[in-house]
Amino acid sequence: MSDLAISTQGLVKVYSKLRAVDGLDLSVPRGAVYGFLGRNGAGKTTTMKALLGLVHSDAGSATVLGMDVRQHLTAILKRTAFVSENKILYDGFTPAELVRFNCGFYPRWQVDAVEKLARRLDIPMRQKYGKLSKGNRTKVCLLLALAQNAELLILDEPTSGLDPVMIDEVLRILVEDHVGAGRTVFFSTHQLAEVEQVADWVGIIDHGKLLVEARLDDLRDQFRLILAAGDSLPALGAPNLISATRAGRTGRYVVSRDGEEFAARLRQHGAQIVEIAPLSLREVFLELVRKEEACTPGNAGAIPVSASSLT
Amino acid sequence: MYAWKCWRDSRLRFVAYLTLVVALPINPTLSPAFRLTDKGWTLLRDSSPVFTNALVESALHAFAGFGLVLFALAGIAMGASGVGDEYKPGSLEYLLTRPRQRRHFVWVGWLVGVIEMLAMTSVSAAVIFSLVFYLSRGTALWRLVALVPLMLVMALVFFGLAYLGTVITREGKNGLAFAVLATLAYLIVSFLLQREWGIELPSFIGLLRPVVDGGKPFAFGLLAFWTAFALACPLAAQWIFERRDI
Repeated sequence: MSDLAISTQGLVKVYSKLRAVDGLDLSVPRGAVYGFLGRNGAGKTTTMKALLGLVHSDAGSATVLGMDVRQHLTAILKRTAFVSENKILYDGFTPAELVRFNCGFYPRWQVDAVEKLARRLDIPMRQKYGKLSKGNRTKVCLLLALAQNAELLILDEPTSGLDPVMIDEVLRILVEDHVGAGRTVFFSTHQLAEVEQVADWVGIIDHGKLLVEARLDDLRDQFRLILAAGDSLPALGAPNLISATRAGRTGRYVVSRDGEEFAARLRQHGAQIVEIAPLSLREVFLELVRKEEACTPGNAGAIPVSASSLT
Repeated sequence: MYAWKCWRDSRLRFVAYLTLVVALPINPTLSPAFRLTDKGWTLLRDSSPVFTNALVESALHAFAGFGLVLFALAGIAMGASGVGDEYKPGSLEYLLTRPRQRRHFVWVGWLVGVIEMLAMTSVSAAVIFSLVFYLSRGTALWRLVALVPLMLVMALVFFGLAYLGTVITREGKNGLAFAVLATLAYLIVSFLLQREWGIELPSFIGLLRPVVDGGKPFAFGLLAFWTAFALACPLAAQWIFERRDI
């Protein structure tokens, strides 16, 4: 049995001319809580859809729970729960009817869990889904996914529309009830605090490419931002170099480990090291994806230096 | 479970069209039995062959005439609530992440429609049959019975067209428009071919006429053609549905 709950190799999905997913290599360990981060349009939802067979990939491969998505989709869906970004179900159904509809598909459906979760999440089970607030809709979607007793939860922005108290409650349920039972959670969100609260793995995607995939602890302990100054900053190629940008005389280097060693190499090439700083998840995320933003005082026209151009 | 959902979605339309297909042919069916007497309009009950034949003929024409329009409309209306109708509201993401193959949803939705159409045609015919039997004791109604499968096939052609239309156009209303436009296009092309070159395309009237008029050979070829067409629609819907990104 594979140690990975999700694995993709060179996954590509093209919409007319847009490469929504562009050679994605993803490895989500079994039992992990994996936060999948990226800006709007980075390719998170398309990746999730490809894993669930909702979109057909143009190249590469994807396996979920050790099974190829193209060949064993139904078997995968039996053991995987999904909450979509749009949280659209059937407006004319009450949550109780949605439960009735849903449970017929799953042999491992947990009847007890439905009542427990409905009480805990305070879901009005007799009101039409179309009449529910956004937050309550999100709760219903989570209820249906959690009661499935699935080995893998794929959640696309699962806490959108929830108030802070309910977000905390949902995250608690995910960690205590779901991950506690050795299952895997693969979720996307824009709330980095949520990821820091519950995730043990993170992946950051931008323009359909995976920029970083690491344990959250490793990211906190080993990732470093190195600010270097100099008239002609060297462009160093290194396997631990994640990002290198340059703004005027200042270069910003993000390395995944061995920051001091990398700084020493920069010094050898005549650079003056201004700072070596540890990074929070938020800082790593911003360092990696902000290259596309308009010039700001904190990002004064930084020019990305691609690793391939490093000499 | 999906069958239950399909039934929930279509039951109001089903009941509305069932009421129409049962109620509307009653009056024309009974027209030979109405007599104006001193007490006003009364229904005549008579087991004579002349009266029975008149009643059977009126029943056949009422069932075929109203059926031709009503079952076509019912088929289109019911087909428009097919699986493709889930594209627009966005519920398809939810549905297609249930552990079933996509073809399962296509065929379950179609089968629910077939059962509803079968119920409509059968109940409508049964009501007419009962009225004729009650008034005349006539039981030689094989032609009325024979019309049931023909009406069913016709209803399924329109149902299938709209069903396929929802998948092609990704919306229920557009599926309905697709079926209506396809029907109109077919009628226009048929008319032009007939007028210009004398070429006759398969028609429902050609299918029903031998049974309604009697004494003519049954149009097995047409029945086979329309049955194949009715089955081709969900097959085409499946082919498209399985290949499309959601």
